[in-house]
Amino acid sequence: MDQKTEAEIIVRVMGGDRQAYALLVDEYKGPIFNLAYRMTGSREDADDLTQETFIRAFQKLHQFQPDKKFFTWLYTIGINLIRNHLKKNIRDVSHHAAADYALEHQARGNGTGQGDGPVDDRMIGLERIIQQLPVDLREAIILKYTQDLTFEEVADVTGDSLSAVKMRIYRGLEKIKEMLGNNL
Amino acid sequence: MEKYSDIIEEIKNLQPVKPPEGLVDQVMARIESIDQSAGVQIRHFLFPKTISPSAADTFSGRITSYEQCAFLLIMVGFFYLVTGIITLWGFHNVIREENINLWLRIQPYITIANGLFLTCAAFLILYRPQATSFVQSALIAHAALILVNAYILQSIITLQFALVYVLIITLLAIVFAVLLIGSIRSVLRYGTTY
Repeated sequence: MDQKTEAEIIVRVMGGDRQAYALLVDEYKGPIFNLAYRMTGSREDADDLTQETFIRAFQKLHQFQPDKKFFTWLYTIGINLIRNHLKKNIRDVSHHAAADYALEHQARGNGTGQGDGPVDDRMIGLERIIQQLPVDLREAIILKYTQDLTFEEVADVTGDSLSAVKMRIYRGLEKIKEMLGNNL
Repeated sequence: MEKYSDIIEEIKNLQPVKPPEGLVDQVMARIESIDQSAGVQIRHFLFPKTISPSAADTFSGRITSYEQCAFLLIMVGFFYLVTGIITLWGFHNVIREENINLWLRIQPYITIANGLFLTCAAFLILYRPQATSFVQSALIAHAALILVNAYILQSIITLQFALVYVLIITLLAIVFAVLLIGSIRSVLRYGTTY
């Protein structure tokens, strides 16, 4: 969906056509859900956070500046909700256990499903390692490489400077490499 | 980043997770239930409900939302307003005395103006988050004015005990100002415009 179409939909929603908002939800539900899932490791939490992100965006739509990209604005709302969620649930150990299970289940049940054992194991390992990263490194890595944003877009979403984002991504990759090495 | 190309490739190849069926319907059902009538809009404007959910977090950890920041500004602004009104009310006879220095007599009004300034700043952050940097600059100027006011007062006041009182109040005001500027810096750094 291009920026112009998004702007038109937003104008319709602001004009009272709430149902038009479903088009935006449908377009971005995947990326936002994936972002929340990879950050929290829990499908349930990701579902709640995705819904909350869209509701919050709807309530604050009047604050959206049309010259900005809608998806970076939406990601910004999502990432803030996710940060707050992680801050509140930092001591919840069972949550991590659930996350592990969900990860394993997801990695084995998704994709080709042809049982390429070692590759699957490495993917599960990688997912786990990403989830063990500190939140600021994790969000930078996820936004850049699984959500495929540019460095500038990641900086826009996280509110950090471009150099800080590059440094976080570098540190994140360094940590992943180190942890992958330890796991082998 | 060259040396991490393998890892980057693996991360990019992670399978995307499919969102639950019916997510769009659930979101739309919740949106339909949001009351956007004029009365509710006015109530939200006067008593923004967005303040409450994250207000509890204001006292623990980092300030990450504009709502938390506005909440702090409202609290400090309210404190100034109450202090100013009580002083004005308690000293209304003294304030009328023309032989007392004018700068001393207008202190309660300055306190009330401070309270109003902080309350306006809170609403500005809440409804025009883009103006947060401007509010930060205004708060720095506000802190400087507190020091200027203290300097003028110490040149007027001769009583030792009154000077100590001015010093304590000034220190308190500066602590408030530094905390508020810190919260704005934090939200500019870790929060986002929305």
